[in-house]
Amino acid sequence: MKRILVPTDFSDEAKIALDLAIEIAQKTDATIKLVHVFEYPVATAYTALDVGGPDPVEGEVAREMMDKNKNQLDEMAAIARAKKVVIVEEVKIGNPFVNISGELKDEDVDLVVMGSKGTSGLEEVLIGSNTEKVVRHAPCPVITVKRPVTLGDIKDIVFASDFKEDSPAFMEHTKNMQQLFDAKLHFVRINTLNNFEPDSFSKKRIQKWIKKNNLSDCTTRVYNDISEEDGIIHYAEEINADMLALGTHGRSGLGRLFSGSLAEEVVNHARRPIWTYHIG
Amino acid sequence: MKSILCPTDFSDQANHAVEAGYYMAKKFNSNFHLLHVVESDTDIDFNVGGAPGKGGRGMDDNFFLKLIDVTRKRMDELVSTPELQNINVTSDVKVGKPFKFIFEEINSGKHDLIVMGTKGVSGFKEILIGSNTEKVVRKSPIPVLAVKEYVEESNFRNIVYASTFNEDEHELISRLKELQQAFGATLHLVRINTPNNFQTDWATRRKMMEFVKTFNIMDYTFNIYNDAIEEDGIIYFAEEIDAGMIAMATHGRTGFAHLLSGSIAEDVVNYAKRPVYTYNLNK
Repeated sequence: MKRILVPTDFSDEAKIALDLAIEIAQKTDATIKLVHVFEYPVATAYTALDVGGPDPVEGEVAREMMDKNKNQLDEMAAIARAKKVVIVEEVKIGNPFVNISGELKDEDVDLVVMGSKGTSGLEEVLIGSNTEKVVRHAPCPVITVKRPVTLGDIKDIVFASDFKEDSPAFMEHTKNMQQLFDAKLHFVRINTLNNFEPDSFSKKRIQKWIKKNNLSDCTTRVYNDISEEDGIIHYAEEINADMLALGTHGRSGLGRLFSGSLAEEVVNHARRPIWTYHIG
Repeated sequence: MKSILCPTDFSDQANHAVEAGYYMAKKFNSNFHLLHVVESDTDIDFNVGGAPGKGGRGMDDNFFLKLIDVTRKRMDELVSTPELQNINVTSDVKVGKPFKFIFEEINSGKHDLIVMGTKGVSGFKEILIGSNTEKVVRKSPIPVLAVKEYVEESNFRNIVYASTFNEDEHELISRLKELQQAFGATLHLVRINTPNNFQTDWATRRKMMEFVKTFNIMDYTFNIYNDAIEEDGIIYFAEEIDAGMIAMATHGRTGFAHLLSGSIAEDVVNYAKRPVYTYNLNK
C-alpha cells in the first residue's frame, strides 16, 4: 500500500474516514492524499491557485470560500501529521465525482477511504450519491465508513459473492484486505427466489472456489433473503460482522450477481464499513 | 415408553429393526414385543396352538401347519438371541393378513412405538417390508421408527428434526425430548427451503428461536437447507452432517412416503443408512 486517497467535504463522516485512513497508513507505511472538491455553481474555469471570474463580487465570494476550505483542509491534515503520517492536501474545483475519478486515474492510488452518510434524501456535495459513483468506478478498492471505527474493531468481515468470480486482481485485493485487517472472512452467497440454487450445488462450488483461490481463516454460508442487499445486511447482523466486502461490476451488467446497483444499495443501508472493489 | 412393537419377517432389514428396538427398549426399560404374521389370503384365524379353524384345503393345510411350525421355531430362535436376554421380550406368530394383525396390535393401546424394517423400492410386493411399512407410517396413531440398515446406539445421538416450524407438532416434540434425554442426543433442527416454499433466513431463524424457547429444547443446532424439493433436502442435509436418525411429523400427506420407499434416485445407499422416526399427527 503506497497511497491512500481520502476525499473530504469536512463532514463528520469524512473525518471518520480520515481517522481510519491514518491507522491504515501507519500500519502499511502509506501516504495519504486528502482532497476537497469545491463545487462552484458557475461553470468558470477556476484553478486552485488563481481564482478569478467575470463577476468580481462572485469572484470575491469564491475566493473567501476557497480560503475557508484550505483552512479546514489544513486542520484535517494536521491530525495526520500529529500522528507522523505523510499527508498531501489539495482543493479542486468542479464536479466532485469527475474530479475524484480523475484523481484516481492520474495518481497511483491503492485505496480510497471515504465517508458516507447513507440515504439522507439530500444531494450532498461529496457524500451520498457521489460516494456511490466513486464506489462504482474506482479502479482500486474503496472503503466507505459511516461511524467511527478503528482497525482493531474489524475482526469479522462478511464477504458476499456468487463464487463464480475468477479475476486474479480481485483475489489479490481480497487477500491484501484480509491481511490488513487481520480478520476472518465470512463468505456468503445470497440465495433469492429469482436466483435459487440448491445447497448441494452452491456448497460444492463455494468449497472449490475457496480451495482454488487458496483462502484461509474463513467460513462459508448460503443465506436466503428477498434481495441480495437485504441478505448481505441481515447476514452481517446475524453474525454481528464488523465490515462488509463485495465485488461490484459497475454498470457492465453481464447478468452477474452484483450488478452495479447492489453495491450502491448496500453502501447506503448498512451501518458497517464497506469494502468494495470494482471488477473489470 | 412401556412397550415397543416390532413386526418382523426375519429379513435383514427386520433384523436391523430388532437392533434399533433393542437399544430403545434397553434405554427406556420397555417391553419388546416381536410379531410375525404368516401371510395367508384366506382369513383363517389360526391360534398359536395350531389347529386351523376352517378346513377344506388338504395339502395346503399340511403345508401351512409345517410353515407355522418352522416360523415359530425361527421366532423362538430370534427371541433367544443372546443380545435380547437383558431386555424383556415377548413374541407372537399369527396367520392371515399382515396388515390386519399389525394394526390390531397397534390399536390395542399397549404399545408406544413401532420399530419396523423397510427395504425401499424392490419391485416385489413384500410381506412386511416396503409397502406395508409405508402403510403403517401413514396410518399408525403411534410413532414409527423405520429402519433400513445396521443401527448402533450412536445413531440416536444425532437426530435431525425436519419441520416447517409452522405446525403444531408438540406430541412429536415431547417424544423427541424423551429420546434426547435418554441418549444424550443433539437435535439438529432443519427447515428445507424450496422455491415453492421460499422463506428468508432471518424469518426462519426467528421461528426456530421461538420454537426452542417454547419447548425448552437444549442441545440443538439451527439449520436451513435449500433444495428443489423437501424430501431431497432432508436426505442431503442428513448426509451432509452425517446424522444418525431423521425425525419428522407426517400430516397424513402422501408426498412424504417416498422418503421411506426410496424413489429418490441419488444417494439411495447413503440415505438408507439412517433410520427415520415419524409420527402421524393427523390421526
